Amino acid sequence: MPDPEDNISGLPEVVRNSNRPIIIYQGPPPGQLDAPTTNAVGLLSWLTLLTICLVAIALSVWTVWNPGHDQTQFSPIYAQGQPVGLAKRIEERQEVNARAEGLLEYLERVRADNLGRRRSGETHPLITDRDGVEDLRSQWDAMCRSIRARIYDRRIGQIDARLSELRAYRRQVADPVERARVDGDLAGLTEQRRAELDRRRTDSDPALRCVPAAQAPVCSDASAEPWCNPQHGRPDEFRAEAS
Amino acid sequence: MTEAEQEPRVTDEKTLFAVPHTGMALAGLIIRTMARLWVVCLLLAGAAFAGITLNQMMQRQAQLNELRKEPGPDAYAVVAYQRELERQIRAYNQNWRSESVPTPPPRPRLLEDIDLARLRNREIGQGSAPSAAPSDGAISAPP
Repeated sequence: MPDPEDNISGLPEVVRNSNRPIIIYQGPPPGQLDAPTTNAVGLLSWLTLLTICLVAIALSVWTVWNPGHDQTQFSPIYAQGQPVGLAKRIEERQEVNARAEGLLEYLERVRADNLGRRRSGETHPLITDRDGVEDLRSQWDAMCRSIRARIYDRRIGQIDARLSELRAYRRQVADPVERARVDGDLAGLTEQRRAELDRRRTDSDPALRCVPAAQAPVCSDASAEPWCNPQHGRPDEFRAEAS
Repeated sequence: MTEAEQEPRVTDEKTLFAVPHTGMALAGLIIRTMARLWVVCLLLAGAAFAGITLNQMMQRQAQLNELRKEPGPDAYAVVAYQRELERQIRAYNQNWRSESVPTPPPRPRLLEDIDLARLRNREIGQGSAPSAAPSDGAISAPP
């Protein structure tokens, strides 16, 4: 039975008496465990900061150069709707400003000429140039006349087709009663054709009257069209309106 | 077997944590320094670009706000009206089988003022008495 004092640090006698090296693990040297933890936290911090920077870069670039258009929003420049990116919106606004520049002054000059009873030679690109409002109104009126002429042509063409059918049918009919009925129909259609031609010549069909674009109704405060009260539809566009 | 050979070998702490070779230690130090420098440069470049792009975005926003000061909604409406006329002409030209005549878009108030002023000036130029409003007739019938 060994003496308890011989059992150093709890090592069994058999180990103490063996020839093998005794390695006692007493943990890592002081501070050895802290380094990996500190490195990992540091790396995570760097990565987080780098990610924030990259996100900020991506967000800024996307906000400025977004090529998309909002098709639900009317754009006075782009047919595909209001642009989303700041760069395109700046382009749009610069174009609007360039077109509208001096419009109020132009009106004032024409009014001054009217007061002085002078014939005004004033022009404004937005109104008088090619593809200006005046030119577009002429195009619009011509388009309306063209549409109306096509509608009349279609109506008269339908009557002519029906007349041809009846005439062909009349040539085949031997029964005098039936021929008399067809003659009546032919006379009615001929009269209808003449009336249509009269309406076309005198423009007497109120449903097919073209109102000139220059005589269209004026926008009211309640008008919902985006070009009537733009300050209501998109107040952001006039947030910092000049006084 | 001698007595010395039978004594247990003593392994001290220095043996357990062997000091690496000086060359290797130097190379490790250089690599670690380079890696740290690379990460720091990457972060600095990222921060610089983030600052530049954010600044650019703010400048664009400020430029847009500046552009929005002029013109006012009246002149803006006339430009938008012109665009609407263009759009309608294009749309009706594509849909030429329409069964009804189109209705012209309502005119912005500023444009009405311009129309009236120009009409009055035209009448002054023709030497006739100015009328208050344009005639109410429709477009004349085609020949």
